[in-house]
Amino acid sequence: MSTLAIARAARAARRSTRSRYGRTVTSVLMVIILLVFLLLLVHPGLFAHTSPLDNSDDSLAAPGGSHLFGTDQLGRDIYSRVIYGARPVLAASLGGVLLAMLAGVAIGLIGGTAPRLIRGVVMRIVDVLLALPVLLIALILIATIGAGVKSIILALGVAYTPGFARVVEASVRKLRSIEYVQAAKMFGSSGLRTAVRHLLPNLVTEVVVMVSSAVGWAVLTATTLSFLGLGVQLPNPDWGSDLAAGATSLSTAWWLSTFPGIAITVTILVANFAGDWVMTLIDPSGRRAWTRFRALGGLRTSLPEEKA
Amino acid sequence: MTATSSAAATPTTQYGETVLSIRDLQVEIRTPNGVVRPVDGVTFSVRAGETVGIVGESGSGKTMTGMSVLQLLPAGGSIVGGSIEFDGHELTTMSLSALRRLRGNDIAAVFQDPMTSLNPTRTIGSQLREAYRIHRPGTSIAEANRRAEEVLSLVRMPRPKERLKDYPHQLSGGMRQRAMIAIALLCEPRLLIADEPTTALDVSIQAQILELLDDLKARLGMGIILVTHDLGVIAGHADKVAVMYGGRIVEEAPTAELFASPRHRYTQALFESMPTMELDSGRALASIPGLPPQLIDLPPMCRFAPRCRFASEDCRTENPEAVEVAPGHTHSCFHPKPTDIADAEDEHLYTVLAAEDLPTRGGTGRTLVTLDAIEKQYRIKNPSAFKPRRILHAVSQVSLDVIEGETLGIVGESGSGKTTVGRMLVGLETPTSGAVRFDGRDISRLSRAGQQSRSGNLQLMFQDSAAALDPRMNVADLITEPLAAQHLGSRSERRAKVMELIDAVGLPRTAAQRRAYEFSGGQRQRIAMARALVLRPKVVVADEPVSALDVSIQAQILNLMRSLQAKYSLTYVVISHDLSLLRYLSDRIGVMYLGKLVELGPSAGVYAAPRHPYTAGLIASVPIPDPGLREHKQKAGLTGEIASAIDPPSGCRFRTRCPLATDLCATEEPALVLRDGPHAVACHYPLTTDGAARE
Repeated sequence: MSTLAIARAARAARRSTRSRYGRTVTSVLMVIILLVFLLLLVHPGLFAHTSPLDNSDDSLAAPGGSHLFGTDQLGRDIYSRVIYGARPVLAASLGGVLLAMLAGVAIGLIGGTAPRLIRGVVMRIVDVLLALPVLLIALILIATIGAGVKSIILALGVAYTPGFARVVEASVRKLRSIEYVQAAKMFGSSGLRTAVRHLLPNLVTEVVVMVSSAVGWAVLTATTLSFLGLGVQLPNPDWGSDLAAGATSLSTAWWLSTFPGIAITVTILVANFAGDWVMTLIDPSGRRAWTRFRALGGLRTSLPEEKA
Repeated sequence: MTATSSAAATPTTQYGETVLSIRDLQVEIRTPNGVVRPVDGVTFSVRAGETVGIVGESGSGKTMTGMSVLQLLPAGGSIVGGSIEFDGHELTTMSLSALRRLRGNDIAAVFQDPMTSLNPTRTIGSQLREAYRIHRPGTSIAEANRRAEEVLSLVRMPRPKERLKDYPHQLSGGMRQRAMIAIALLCEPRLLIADEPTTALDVSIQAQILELLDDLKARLGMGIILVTHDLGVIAGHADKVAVMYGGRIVEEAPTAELFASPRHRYTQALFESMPTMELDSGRALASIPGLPPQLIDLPPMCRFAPRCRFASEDCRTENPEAVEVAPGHTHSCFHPKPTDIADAEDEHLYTVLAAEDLPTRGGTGRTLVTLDAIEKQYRIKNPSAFKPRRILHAVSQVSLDVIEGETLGIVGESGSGKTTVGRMLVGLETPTSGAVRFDGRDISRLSRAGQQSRSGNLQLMFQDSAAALDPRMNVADLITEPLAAQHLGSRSERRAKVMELIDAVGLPRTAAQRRAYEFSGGQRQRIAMARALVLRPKVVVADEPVSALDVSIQAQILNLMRSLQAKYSLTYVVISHDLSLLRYLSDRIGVMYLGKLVELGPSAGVYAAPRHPYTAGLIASVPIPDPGLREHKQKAGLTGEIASAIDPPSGCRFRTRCPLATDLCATEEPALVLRDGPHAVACHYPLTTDGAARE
């Protein structure tokens, strides 16, 4: 027992020495990157001076010179299109995942705490949803309410809800047998109060992991839908539709598809890194290992076990 | 049982040549806060056929010492000095491949938890075969199988051939530990390192496993290093003891000598802080104040000095040298316990509890809580499909009264249903039938509002305080949680209550803003106690309140529980597997076996003159920290293991393990009846005071 604890603390501690410096650097970098993405979402004009819809005389210009990423067949600046194209992708994926998270956590909490019958019904519906392909859900929604960012948000929301619901339900059922949740029951805490005070805060880690990977997948799905012509309609900029537009001339003008493609890749990577980073900030076990070690040096010796 | 089970047939232990000798061993673990030295200059040796006990609290370096012999140190750890010589070979400089040949072959180890040491996805047989064929390349599967079966019968596994096909989860804890020992013994090692081999097991199984180790040692001539925190285990089974504290051996002596005259102040304190069965319960336990040292950058000093009553200036500035006081008995203490003073009482560490700190023993006589034939059954899945669900009888027809102001102990092995009784008392489980009455009102089936008023009367202290305290809340929120849940009191009232309770349980006020995981186990138990008291309950049910704590910390918590009992006029129901703890703490003891209450009486009576054969066996199984009693109590414990609660034996449930059982026991269930005063027993053939069955 004791040895394992020491070993674990030592391992955690080594990780933290190696990166205590690095941790600050990572945090600063992450904050900057996330701010940039936020600005891309709310005010892309900050980064690009030309409009993505402006046709210049210079069509199919190679990258460099006055057009950093080159221009397309109609002479539109690719750089500006990549910058402005972030908005629909980010809005769709973040909105979709947010929707899925809210719905999924709610359903998961119900599933995890409700009596057996209700749980059975709810979770089997979730199972059915989980079996439906994302693209099929999107196609049905777009066919009924029309193409656009809103229907993509809705489609992604519906598609990712079951994933959240399943993970949250499993964690809630595990948490319910843990003694601090039982203790709350013993004190006469109501079901809702227990859920808000004890279950939700202890689900945060799982949910953050889910969100970060779901955002990555959602970016991919949103651009796929646009690629297929179901999302943002040309001439409005969007990574997916631009990728599709340039795909046919990849051999002659590689820059048309490459830059939107790189943008998608970078966004997914950032989503995953951001998830890891947020987790190190909130994970009680990670922090526990760290604090325990800090405690080894100072706290435990300064707190007398027995008051004199 | 095999024919060779009797240790008496073999001559008493003969010591052979030295198998292992460790000299001035130093181990370091690098951490950001500095270099931790869990082992700092340890020297001892083990001879063939000898058991060397290493005893100490957690963090004393006892496990690390064992691990460095195997060269299995945690990441970041390394041996930086000294030598470990095994059979003429220096282990610290040995190549990895040579070490691998040695491990499991000449040096084997048994760890605390047999469940995590065995691979759950493979059968016992395949794990035994693998271990054997690694060290005996070229043996056929059939041969390995034969050897596996042989070793399993050596460790007295019932029906060894069938066990080979079993997976670890199909075996009980005791059988799993036997399987682990079997793996360790496959290649007939010359040295066995047993690290807390019985800590996870019930006392009756513990006694069986330790006896098995003794027997094997005598027959195979192994040296054994027995690492444990339990002085009782050491007393009964070690030939020589090394007491470790802060990474050093502070005292080393032959077992009898050490227990007769401990010289180091730490050893003395350790002995006195233990609740033994003989201890007068009117006395507080000696508690060692403070916590074990953090072994980082310590200057030369006696490691125990900050917690020692007798420490002087030299203890804080110099490393004490080992002094030999008798052949084989060394200690390193500047102010050892004198051996020749007539008035030994003055030198004791314990204090006598002040009258106001002592709760009135036995309570007021008014019945506060009544358990009226409560029963708890769980329906569990039948492993074969299309069969009806089976019923597990966790608690069957338990009736007892809890008297206001008393401490009632409930003791039993795991699976006896004692925890379920506690959970039904506080409403975490609803009895299948029967009723729990508080002040005459049935409180077993309440609405949520009723549950709230009940929680003002009855509170539970959970076994594992680490799991019972929400990691995302600070201590102040944790303590006021019951008030907040019931919307009681204003913010400032709650805050005042927190401060009052933090003081009452002996935590510093700065603790309020910290989180539970920043505290040590003993301090967390204090937080749990404060939370249990915030609603001012009349009854506190404590489930294994100190089982996770070190002996010296245990004493602090037990003393605290007793002083709080007086201060807040509490009634305690203490649930424990530890009979000596209950003997010290409680006024009455109820003994449970397989869901039944088999004996109930005043704790002194139950302990001195048990009426039920199970209680008698349980008492005999408890390791007593007195090497003199070693021969006397051999084989008096319980045989076999607790039966299944799914299909409990007919009649008396204990009959499958009872030496006195007759046909009557199988057909008719004995009722719990009072015999001679307040001492009730459920047995057809209760024991009389001299230990014999009454005709």
